[in-house]
Amino acid sequence: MKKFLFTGVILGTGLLVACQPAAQQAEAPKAEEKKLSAKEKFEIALANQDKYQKACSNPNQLVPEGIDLETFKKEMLATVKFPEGGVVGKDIAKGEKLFGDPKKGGKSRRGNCYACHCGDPQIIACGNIGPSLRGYGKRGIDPKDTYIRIYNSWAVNPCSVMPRLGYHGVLKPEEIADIVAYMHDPNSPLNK
Amino acid sequence: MATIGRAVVRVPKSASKGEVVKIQMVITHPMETGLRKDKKTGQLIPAHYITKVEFLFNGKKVTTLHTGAGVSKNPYFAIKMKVTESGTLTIKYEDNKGGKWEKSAEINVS
Amino acid sequence: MKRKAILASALVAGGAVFTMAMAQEEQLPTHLKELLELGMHPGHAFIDEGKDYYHSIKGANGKTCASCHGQDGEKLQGAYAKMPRYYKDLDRVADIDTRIKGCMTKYMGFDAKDKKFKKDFDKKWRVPLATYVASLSNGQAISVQLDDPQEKEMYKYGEQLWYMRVGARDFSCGICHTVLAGKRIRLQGLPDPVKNKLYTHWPAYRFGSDRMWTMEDRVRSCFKAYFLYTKQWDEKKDWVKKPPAHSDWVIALELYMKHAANGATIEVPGLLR
Repeated sequence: MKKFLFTGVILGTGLLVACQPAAQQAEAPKAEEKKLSAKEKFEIALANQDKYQKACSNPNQLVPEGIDLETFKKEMLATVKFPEGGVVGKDIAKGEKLFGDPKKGGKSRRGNCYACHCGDPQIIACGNIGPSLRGYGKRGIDPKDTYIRIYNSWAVNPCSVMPRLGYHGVLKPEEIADIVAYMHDPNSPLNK
Repeated sequence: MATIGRAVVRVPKSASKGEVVKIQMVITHPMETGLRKDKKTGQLIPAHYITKVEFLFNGKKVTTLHTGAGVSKNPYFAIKMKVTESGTLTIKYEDNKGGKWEKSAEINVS
Repeated sequence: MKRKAILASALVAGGAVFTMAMAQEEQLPTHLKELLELGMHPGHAFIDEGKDYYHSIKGANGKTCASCHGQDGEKLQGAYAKMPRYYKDLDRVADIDTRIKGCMTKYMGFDAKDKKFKKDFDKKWRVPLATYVASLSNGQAISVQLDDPQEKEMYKYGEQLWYMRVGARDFSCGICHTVLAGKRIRLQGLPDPVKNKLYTHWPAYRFGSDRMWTMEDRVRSCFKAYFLYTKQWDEKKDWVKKPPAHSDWVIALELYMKHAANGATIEVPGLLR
């Protein structure tokens, strides 16, 4: 009787031991993906700072430290990906929406250009951080330069205040091409 | 938002006899007009506003304000009152949903 | 010659004081300026509410805030002017929100893990109590000292965070509030809290959203605009909106800003657009 109990206990523990790693293996990847606490998430997000952002994180903010200006520009330029259909897109209406939807007072969740730039004279709620874009298409600027500036402004102006919208994937290359089309179109409200 | 119906009343700390004092108050209240729509559901938000504000000094009525939906959110009220004796100023106010509150403050007259 | 120099410096100093005083009011629309002149706005209701809680909240030990700090908060006068600072009993640098929570869990007998307490504290008690305690220091000059090594470390970290460019928009606090100070983002002016000593009117009442904000709320919601992400940028999945409340990141930034505001007079509650 005693023996039976004893083996039972051994069997039980054996089962437990056998079960544990399997259970852990099944749960481990899930836990890694889903159960990050807010603190861990934030920690990871701060650690995501890339090399270039780090170079710009000095009190001057607008001049990179530790990287030569020319190499900085060159390396940033190398990250620019161009869309298949050329830098000037076809869907001007979509470009307008990404730039700032005039029906919503120039608001846009993605591009949000009016936060810093003025452009369409009808939209009064525009910031004065960047230069005004009124009449942008008439200035004789190469659309390719416009594209690069939106995709990765640091390729032109290292540590600039302007977000690198394409580099981070906030806007896709095709979407930036649409915005370029909107900005260079002679019929767009920017150029009228 | 602070709790609905909470009020702050400010009276002068001391006053001389016969002086005209200023009584200020702010009531925290959403003051919904009943014409606004909830952006998410598209339903009208039911009206909820202060209808009456009564000022009593030592149990005697000083003045009554009849307010409506046109008054702003978290309204500010101020009245001027002549005081001849020390006493308690009681302010009673109510809204259209049946909320009733009371707030009092002491005025010392020397 | 000397007189001229003195006159000039006096003018400059006067100008500086003037701009400092104007900095808060400049951005206010007229109806809010009127409220400020009258000296009363809904923010004062929060002080009142906080005072009620100060006497009414009772923990498991049967203590209220008043039983330690005095009936009218005598012992808390000037405490806010020195915050955030290192507290021995909490063994960390704490700001006002954290200090109040620490008091409640340590001395009043609340359980920090109790869900009801958490909810009550966050949604109901924290802001009014913080506002009330801050208002007890009204009229005093901010004087944050960096005596403790932990404070010094925190300050350094705060400065580092201030200039740290991260996230999908390459922002840092310094981009908007140092480099672009004085410009507008859409129609909203950008103040410089470090140079202009703008810490004086916090916690502040925000008229548009009808909310009282402590600095912790303010810093955390600033971080929302950073578009921080955990993996690769995808707004729906990976956007980390805010650092957790009472975390070191928030307190470090508060310490950095408040140390910069040393010498300015506290005027709580502030009024914002």
